[in-house]
Amino acid sequence: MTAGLIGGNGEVGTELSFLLRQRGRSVTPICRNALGSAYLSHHGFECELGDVTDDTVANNLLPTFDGVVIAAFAPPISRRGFHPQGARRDNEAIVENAVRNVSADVPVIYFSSVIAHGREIGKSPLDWYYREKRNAETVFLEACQEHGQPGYVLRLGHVHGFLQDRSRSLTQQVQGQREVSIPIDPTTASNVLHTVSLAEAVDRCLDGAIEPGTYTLTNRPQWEWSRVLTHYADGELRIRYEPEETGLLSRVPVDPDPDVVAQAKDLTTLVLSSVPDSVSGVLYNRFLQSTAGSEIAALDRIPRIDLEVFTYDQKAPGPYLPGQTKTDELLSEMVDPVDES
Amino acid sequence: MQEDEASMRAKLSQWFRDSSDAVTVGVVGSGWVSTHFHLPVLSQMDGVTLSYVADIHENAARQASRTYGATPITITESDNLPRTDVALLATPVGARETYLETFGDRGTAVFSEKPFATNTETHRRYLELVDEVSCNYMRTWYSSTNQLKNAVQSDFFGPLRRVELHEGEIVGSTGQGSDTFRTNVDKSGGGVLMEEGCHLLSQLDHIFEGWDQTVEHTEIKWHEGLDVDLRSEITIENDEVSVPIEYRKSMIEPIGNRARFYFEGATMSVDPFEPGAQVKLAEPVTETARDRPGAATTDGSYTIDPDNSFATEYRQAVYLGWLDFLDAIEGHREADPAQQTRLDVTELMTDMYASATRGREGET
Repeated sequence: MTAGLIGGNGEVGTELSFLLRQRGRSVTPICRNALGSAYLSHHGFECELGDVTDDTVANNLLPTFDGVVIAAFAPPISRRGFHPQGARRDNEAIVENAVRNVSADVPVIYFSSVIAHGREIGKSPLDWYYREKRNAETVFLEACQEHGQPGYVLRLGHVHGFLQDRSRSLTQQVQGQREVSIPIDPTTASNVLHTVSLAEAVDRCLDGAIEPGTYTLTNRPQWEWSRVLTHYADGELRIRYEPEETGLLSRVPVDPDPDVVAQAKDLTTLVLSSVPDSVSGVLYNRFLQSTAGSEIAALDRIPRIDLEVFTYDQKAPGPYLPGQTKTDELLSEMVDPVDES
Repeated sequence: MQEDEASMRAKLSQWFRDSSDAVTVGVVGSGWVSTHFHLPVLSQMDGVTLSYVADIHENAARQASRTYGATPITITESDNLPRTDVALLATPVGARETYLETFGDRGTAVFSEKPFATNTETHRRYLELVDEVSCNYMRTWYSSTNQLKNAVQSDFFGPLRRVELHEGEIVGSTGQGSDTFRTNVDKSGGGVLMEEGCHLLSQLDHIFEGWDQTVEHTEIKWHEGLDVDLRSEITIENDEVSVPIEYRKSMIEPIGNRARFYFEGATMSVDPFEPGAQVKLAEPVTETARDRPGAATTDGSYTIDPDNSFATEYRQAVYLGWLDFLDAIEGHREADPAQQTRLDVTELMTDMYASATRGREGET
């Protein structure tokens, strides 16, 4: 049984191809052009080339597969420029053409995002990505109903894995450190999804072990941010919760806004010139003390990790994909799928 | 540009502001590099007027010209393009010749995208077509590149023993559709070497300006007729010293980005891809130590950038390239078209393809 993976050369699609193959599933990555298929071909994947936004191409490519995974997503900004309307058309075409052109009863899986939960996860419903994902979900589910195809919407958490940029970035920030600060409570649910859990989920959906529907998919159990950071650490790591970055000794904010500082200075001088020198002298000394504190704070700051996803500070709600194996268990059995190939 | 870059640049900017005759620029090719780099930069330059944006696709030309008050032109023949002082040639490298002929006949100066040509013979032929020409090898304006050049020229760290130039990551999502010219060898000229590897070679050429270069050996992996992974050994030499260069460029191996220079007195390394990358200094590496994994340590780093003369952002690099070219065509300095278009880079690429030990029909 072979699964077709639309967007196979994307970051998630690439890693998923390796992991599914490692799990014994035959996978055909579908890429738009030969350049995109170079890495996968180098590692023995037989790729198909074609743009699924074209219905004729989808009709040629997809009927032979026993399952289809849609990992592709058209962003609003690309090499073509800024084209949010064009991106919406492409995203709708991808899901419609995929569902329309697979053979009867073939499961189709659409990769949405936890962002689709919007306010429930701390994300504004005005956000473009939220609106695109919700729209694509709606179009996908309507197409599945119209054509009688088993459809799965998986709202993926923030994907981490061996080939993921965000994992590489966190590794670089954390390794070699004994202490870091973050602006979020380390016990907050991270909504991270490791690709090993994603691969298991996709496998089970393709096998029909899960009822079609819409599911949230994160690590099981959810990793708190402290767990995420220690996953990448190369030794013991202390994580400090610092809503505002301060130094170790001085507890004075580093990098104060220069405009605010300048205004405060002007106002202070104006006020102080109207009070006795004995009073202003004390206040001036306090100012010197505070300035010294800021400069010391800038010297002894501990490394700070600040990620955009920290703004989504709510645990993604369910329903969750049932029957997931614990992520740590999957990781402990893990062999690097790229090296293995 | 010569020494004291910042003050020379200030003088030139003032000259353009004071000049009553604006330089008119026409843009041929409204793809990503024009819309994301050249047009925004040119529109911000004093003394420059954008005349037209031309493309074979009508919508692309119209979309690109909208913000800048330029005339959109759908290209039917190169002769139909309006006359301007300068033309930006941002077409695929395989679609340059007729434009160069037209602009050469008119005496229009040409600022071309890189690479200038697909091989040495074509490069030399193109140079015969136009008198005033340059090529957007923007990394030669990077602060990091010029810091390395200063280090090599100054001899401060002792003789240079060896250089490693590595750049590579998994290709991933290309952002290109199924009809991209990049997979058409006739239009693109090749794969990873022609599209991106030439940038790294331009940095090499800039750092070792005037040195002789020889390609000793090259191995290439191919995919669908495109080079996707390349290893080459090059020798750079002058009258006094000969330096081996290990050059690696890949879109299928995540080898990372680094330019590492092994001097007798220190090891310098930098990410050649990033304009504002810090140059890291480390202790020198001995002959035997060099073979150990991670031989050069990079503990301790500081930036050697005396007066903020060069680019630490991508568009700054594009801006400096334009300023330098306009400086030349306004007659403020002598310019050698072969050097401006980096003929040496084209020669290196031609020699690498020629010396590759595996045929183009071999698959990865």
